[in-house]
Amino acid sequence: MTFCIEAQYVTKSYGKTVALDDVSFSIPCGERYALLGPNGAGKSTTLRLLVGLLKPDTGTIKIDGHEPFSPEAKSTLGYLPEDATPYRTLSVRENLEYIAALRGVKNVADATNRFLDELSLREYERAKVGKLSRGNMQKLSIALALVHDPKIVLLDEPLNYLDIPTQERVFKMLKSLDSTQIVSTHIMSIATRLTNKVLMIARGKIVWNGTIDALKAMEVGDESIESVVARLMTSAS
Amino acid sequence: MLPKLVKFVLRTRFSRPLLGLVAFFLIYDTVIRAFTSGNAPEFSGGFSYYAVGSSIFFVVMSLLFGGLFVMKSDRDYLLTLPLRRRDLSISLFIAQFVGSGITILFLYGFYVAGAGDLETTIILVANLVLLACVVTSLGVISNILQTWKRVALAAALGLWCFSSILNFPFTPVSSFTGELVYGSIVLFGVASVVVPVALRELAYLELGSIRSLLRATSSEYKKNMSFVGKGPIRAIYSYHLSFLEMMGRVNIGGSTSYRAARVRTSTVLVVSVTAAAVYLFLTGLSPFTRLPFRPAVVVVPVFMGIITLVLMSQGTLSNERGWLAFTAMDPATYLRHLLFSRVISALAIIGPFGVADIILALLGIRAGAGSAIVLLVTVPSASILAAYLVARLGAVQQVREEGMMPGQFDLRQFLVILPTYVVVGLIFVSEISLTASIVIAAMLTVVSTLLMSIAGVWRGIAYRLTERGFV
Repeated sequence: MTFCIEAQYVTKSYGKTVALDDVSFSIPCGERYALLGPNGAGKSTTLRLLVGLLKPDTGTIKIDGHEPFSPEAKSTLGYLPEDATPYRTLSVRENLEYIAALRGVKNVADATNRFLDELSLREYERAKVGKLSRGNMQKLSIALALVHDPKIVLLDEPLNYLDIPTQERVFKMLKSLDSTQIVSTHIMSIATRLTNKVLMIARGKIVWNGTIDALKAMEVGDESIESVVARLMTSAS
Repeated sequence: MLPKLVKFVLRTRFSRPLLGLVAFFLIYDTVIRAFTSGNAPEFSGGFSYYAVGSSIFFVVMSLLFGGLFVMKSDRDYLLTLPLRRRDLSISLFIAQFVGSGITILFLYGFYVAGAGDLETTIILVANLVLLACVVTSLGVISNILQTWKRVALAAALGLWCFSSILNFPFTPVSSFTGELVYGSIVLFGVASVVVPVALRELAYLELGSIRSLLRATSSEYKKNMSFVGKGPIRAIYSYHLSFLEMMGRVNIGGSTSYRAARVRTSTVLVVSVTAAAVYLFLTGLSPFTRLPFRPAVVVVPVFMGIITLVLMSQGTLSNERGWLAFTAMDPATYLRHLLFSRVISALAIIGPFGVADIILALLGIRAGAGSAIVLLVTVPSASILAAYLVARLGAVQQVREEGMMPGQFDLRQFLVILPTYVVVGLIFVSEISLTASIVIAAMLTVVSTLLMSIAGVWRGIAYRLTERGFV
């Protein structure tokens, strides 16, 4: 089995606060994982470490066999943080073209036009990002994370601010991607629709790792999957 | 209710250590009077030029870059509370005063404290406080004015204040040239107009400034930049050389605003070339006006230096998006090219003045040579160091919402301004001696080149920014 994401004994602290404590996990290529955890569990830190925006205090991370900050890893990864804001002084089209150019995309115009159409951003292509609604800003952010057709996609609450038709379009789009995905979310319906496996994190430690089906199997009586997740998270803390 | 509200507004905007430092400076300015008695301000020379020049700077900058000490949470919570508008307005005005106008007391208080007699001291202190209130108010008023009105008003007020150097007694700053009575009366008159307007605006922020901030005016660019067919490095230069970006906490002369605006570099170049031509004419070519304007050869590089340093240090990274730029390519490569492109674009502002200074030097005005070196070498090199320092100390705030403070001001953000004054000091030294200017320029160029050559330094900056929530 080939692993696209590998984290071994990773620890990350901010001052005296330990965000991740000796965390290890591996994600096989092509798998789709939901990253679940209560607020402040270390989900965003995990994604930032994987994408090379942060450096672990101890431990190692490999993205497709490379260090996260290497050019090889960067060309492989697509990342969307929570509440992402693109460049406010650029227009929608300028943002897409600029990031595509920075990423060395071969046909910048084609990639830009494809996402403008797929995410219904065409009518806003000349709009200043600072003047966009939060929903349209989120659509643009998703496009920016995917503009280079990444092999590994890390998304933090990707459906925030989106209306229901757009959510459906994004679901379809993400499902159609031939990529390894980690989706951090608090909403179980998103996790169950977009992924088939779960990495649960609480207080900086992995507390559960398995399939969505295994989670469902843990339901007692008419207990919902949300209740199971809540039970696992609380028992860990 | 008012004292509690004032406390709340101040504490949510400024950290305790920062407020402590502000209090310390004020006490220091007051106490130093005891040790400097008898050293009266010199109304005909240094003090007048310094105080009038700085006042013009503060007034103009407040109008051009004025901002509100208002946070997003104010819009969502504070302004929706059933508070008396008078209390709200006074509290926010005090916060504006502490954040911006008070800088004036730090800069001139020291001089004024040394006035020869008690009467002069009292009058000058009263003038300073009034001027600080005027500058604070102009910072608020600028938010409700259209750009052309802001520029026109700034130019008119600037010229009016400048006329005091030419011995016109009826200006808001002529107290600093010795016209204590007329100056005080005019300043009081100006304050009695602008302060009530600012108080009224602060009382109904959600109907005025905030509403206009949220209004979707000119939401499209007429002409888009194109990055098609450009590689990563060319894209960075294409972006930053096409437009001069004003972003982040524009903190010039104590005025503070959060803006995201871009101006075509070619437009900036036309304006700066015109201004430099006027500067050259007034300081070197015109036989009639040469003498009164000669100090400008020394003063202009200092002000241009401060503006560039502030723009480069605060503005370079405020609009950066780590999740896009630092994940697209090596942060070290990105940051270094970004900084270099910003330095080149800053030269669009200061470069024409540097060229004018070279011409002045060729015309035999000695100070021109030093000024040219300062503008063309010292300031660009120092601005790289300033940008590094601000980022390294984590004092840069990412602007995510225009017009609103991204967070509380702390001591760290205040202290990073201090090295700017070291550079300003070096600029002054450079103006005195040509040898010193060459040595200082060479020294800063070597240090900034060394800094730019170490990739690890810039990767460390990227990590540090991310750790401070700069994603």
